[in-house]
Amino acid sequence: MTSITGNIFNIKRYAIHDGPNIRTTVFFKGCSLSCWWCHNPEGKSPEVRFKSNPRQTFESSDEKLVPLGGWTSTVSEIMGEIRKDLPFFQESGGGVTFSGGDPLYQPEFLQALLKACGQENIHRSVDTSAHAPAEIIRSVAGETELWLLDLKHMDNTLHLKHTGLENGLILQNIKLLDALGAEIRIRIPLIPGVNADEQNLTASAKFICDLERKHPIDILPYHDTAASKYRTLGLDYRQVQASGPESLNPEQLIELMGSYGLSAQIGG
Amino acid sequence: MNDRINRLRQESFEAKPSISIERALLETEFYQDNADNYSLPVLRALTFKHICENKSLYLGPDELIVGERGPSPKSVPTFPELTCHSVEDLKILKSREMTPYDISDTDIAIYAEKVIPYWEGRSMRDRIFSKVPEDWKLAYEAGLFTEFMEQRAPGHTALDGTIYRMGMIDLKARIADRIQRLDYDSDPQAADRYEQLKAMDITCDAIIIFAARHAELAESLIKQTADPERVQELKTIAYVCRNVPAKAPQTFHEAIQMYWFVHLGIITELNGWDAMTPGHIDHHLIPFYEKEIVDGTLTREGAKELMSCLWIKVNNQTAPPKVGVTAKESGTYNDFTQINLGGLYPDGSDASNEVSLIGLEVSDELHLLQPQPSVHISSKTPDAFLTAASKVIRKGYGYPSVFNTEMVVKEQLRVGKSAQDALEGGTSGCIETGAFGKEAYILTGYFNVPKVLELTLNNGTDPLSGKQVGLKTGPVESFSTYEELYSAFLKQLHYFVDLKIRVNNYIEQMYANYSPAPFLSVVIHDCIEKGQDYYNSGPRYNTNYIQCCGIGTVTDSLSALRTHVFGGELDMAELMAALEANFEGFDDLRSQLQHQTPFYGNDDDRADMIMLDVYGDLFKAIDGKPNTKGTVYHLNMLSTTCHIYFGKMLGATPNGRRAHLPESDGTSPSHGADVQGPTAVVKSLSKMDQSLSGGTLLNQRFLPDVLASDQDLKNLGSLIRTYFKLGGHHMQFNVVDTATLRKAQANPDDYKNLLVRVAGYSDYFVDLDKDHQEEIIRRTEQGLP
Repeated sequence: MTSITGNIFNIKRYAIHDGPNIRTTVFFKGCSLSCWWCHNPEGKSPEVRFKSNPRQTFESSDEKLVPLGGWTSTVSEIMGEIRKDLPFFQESGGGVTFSGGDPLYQPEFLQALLKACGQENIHRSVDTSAHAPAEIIRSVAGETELWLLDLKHMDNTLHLKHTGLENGLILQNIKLLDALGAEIRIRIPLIPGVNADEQNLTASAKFICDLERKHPIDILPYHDTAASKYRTLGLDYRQVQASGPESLNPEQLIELMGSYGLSAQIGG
Repeated sequence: MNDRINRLRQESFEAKPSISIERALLETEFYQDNADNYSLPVLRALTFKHICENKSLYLGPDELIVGERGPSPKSVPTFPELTCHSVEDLKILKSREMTPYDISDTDIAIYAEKVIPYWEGRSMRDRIFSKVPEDWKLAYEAGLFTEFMEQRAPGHTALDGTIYRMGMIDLKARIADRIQRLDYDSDPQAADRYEQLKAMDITCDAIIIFAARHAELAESLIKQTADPERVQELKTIAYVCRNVPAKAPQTFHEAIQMYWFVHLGIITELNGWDAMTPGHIDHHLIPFYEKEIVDGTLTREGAKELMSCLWIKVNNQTAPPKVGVTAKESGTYNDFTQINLGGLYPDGSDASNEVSLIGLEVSDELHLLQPQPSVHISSKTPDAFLTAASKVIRKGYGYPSVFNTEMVVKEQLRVGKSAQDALEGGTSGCIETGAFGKEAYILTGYFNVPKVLELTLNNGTDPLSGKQVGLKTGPVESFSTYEELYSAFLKQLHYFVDLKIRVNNYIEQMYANYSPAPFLSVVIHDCIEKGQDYYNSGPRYNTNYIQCCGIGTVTDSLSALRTHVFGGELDMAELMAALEANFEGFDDLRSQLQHQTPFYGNDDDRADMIMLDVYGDLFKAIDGKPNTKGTVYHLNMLSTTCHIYFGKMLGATPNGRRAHLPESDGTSPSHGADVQGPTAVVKSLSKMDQSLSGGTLLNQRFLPDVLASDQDLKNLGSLIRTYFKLGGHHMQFNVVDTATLRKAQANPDDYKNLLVRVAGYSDYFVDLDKDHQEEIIRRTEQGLP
């Protein structure tokens, strides 16, 4: 099992906003969606630049470029990195978060890592768009303590327009995980001009409210911080601009969710 | 903060530091008339009494706690018996751009006429520098080490709880009893002891007189005061000053005033490094607080007001002005009074109490330069206290710093202190561990470890001056393996440590002989019982430290040598040429060194094992070397601001650092070398057995976003607790982004209040010179992943 390889673009320690407490986040390469505002554009492509961790081999001479290239890693290499911060997980109640890109884009690699962490009693969190076949969701759910699930748009046409894919499978999977009794945090990236209008957010609240169980909501305000990454990657960067219906600010969204009996907070 | 405290704070904040020549004049006139009439301890005691009887007093309109070292807040005396400032020194102090001290031309003229002629050749600095050997001077001038005691007295004094239980009258009785028991028949030192004890007794009288003069001043002010409330306050002040320090304090107010008089006495008698500190003030004040709250004679607000008054008093005591190398490496108004909050009681139970919390609140509200609060965290400390401290850390003043109580105790047990004394101990100055009220723990100077490597690479010659400063350990081309290079480095290391210690011991003996401190000896166990001075083995414990700087720089440089020269393709001659050229024209090589070398601070054993070798060898070179008191030297791992001075004295280094830039500070990684986040830094540092040292120092700069939410604070608490479980001694934080610091550089007037963590203390960012400002900006920002 430890011979299974996968492509990742970073391992970040002291990740404190990717799930509860002190965590190590492993960023997977590849994502089915193509949200044009994505703040991790280096995760979109499944390809990697390095054969192994350039930090170990010093193949790349610039720390800033390491994550932009990505490398092919192994379960044992990643487990070695994760284990380094075990004392911090134990003290804080933290653990590991698999993010990306989308970790479900490489399901076998993800499952191997989840199993390895499970054997060492490390708390596991999966941060995903939930765009994957139901059987993969079911099987990952058995090895995951916490799901961080993005809810980007309730309108199918607009979802398709902004992310390149329809939202049916995503909404179905959220319902599935809810029915399976999984622990879930719903994350709403608040993108002005895309999904921050009252109509969409009200629809989102209703959807969350209709789930069998009440799940907490993390509001992720949009930050204009990814521009330099787009430039370095040679990708076009589109500035987010508020247009169309008026955008709600995070505080207003907290209030809106509250009116549906839902508890929301800023950040995650 | 109430109106009174607001006014007192403003007055303290705005007062311009100035030099008062009054103490020097009183001392000089007394020495001129009496120097030949008494034994040295008695002469020192009578001089102290003369100052207490004659110095100008200050009692401000809003004050509740009274007494100043100078004639007014932030007016600092000089200590010509240690270092006598020249006319030129005084003029520089007055006119220099950074941290100036005001002094009138008239005063400079009086100083030139009355003070300087007497002390020429008599001051401690003159005596020391006239006798040090040439090889020491060469090393000193090359920036291998500094010498702490050439212009300030050995310091690092913190008190235990004695003065809250015993007044000066009680201590006089203890002295009298000891004199009674002197055995002139069988103790050849009895006559000496008698002189020491007699001197101590005189200083007790002196401080009682000093307090009584304040009582008289308060009474005389009553007659000129119309406001009935202020009249009542002045009556209380007079009453308190007649009770303490003569008798043991009975109230919260008296306990604080008691401490303050003792503090003033100690910093007036001599200008010891790191001023003076009450140590665990919350442990000492809590019994008074609890009793008076129950009795209904004190409210929480009242207690907070009195503690605020004490904090402001400490802030009023600007550091005495330094000269020469010492001014270069320590240019600050801060006099390093560190107040310990929390920790454990002597019985081993958790000691974070209501007074600890008030202390944090006062520090937060006043956010003054001094005192510097530290919080002491043990496995028994409740999360609520750590969270309260984290909330102040988040404000970005650079304090409180955070210490590991269990390690502070362990470090003391290792060197043979009793468990009880170790528990009553704590940290003072920046991060230095000591047994409060029972120990002279003397820092003797900083030691420039990367400079030792530079000399090793140049066969003992300093490339900056061309002088042969170190041993000839062989030309660099002759080292065919890393081990050969490292063994030459060790030879140089031992040579310089031994040289430093040889001269330290000589200076130490000078203090024992020429500069006894009888008042300080009264309040430190067991000076009375031994009949010996604080500087002459009087305390129960006597420890010397050498503070080693630049462990990050030296580790990364050795790692670069091992990786690229001995384990890679790089030609040693090319590296040496690059270092000599300060990497001009060697951009690719510099980039390779900076980006393709395992560096300390990333939880990477390839670098961390080198750090362990260096740390272990520093320990072997220093620990256990004898001092003049029959005890030994230990290792300390802090740089305060000396890594900037040492960096200036150092050429380019193999880790890609350019010449004259700062070295790594304390035990922190090199600037920008730690790229794996704070948990990796903590893991790297915890690989060293920190209990072998008398303290380590870890700076972390966090971006404000990392500490925004309550959950973020909880994670900070977990980070700290994990470090401490792994054996960390100390951690401190700057919470400020680079943009803010750049704005402060551009518009200093708008950022007068911006405190930042410099070393083991905070300072106003706009009071730092450009080098220090840049050094802080270059510290790695720990941001959000």
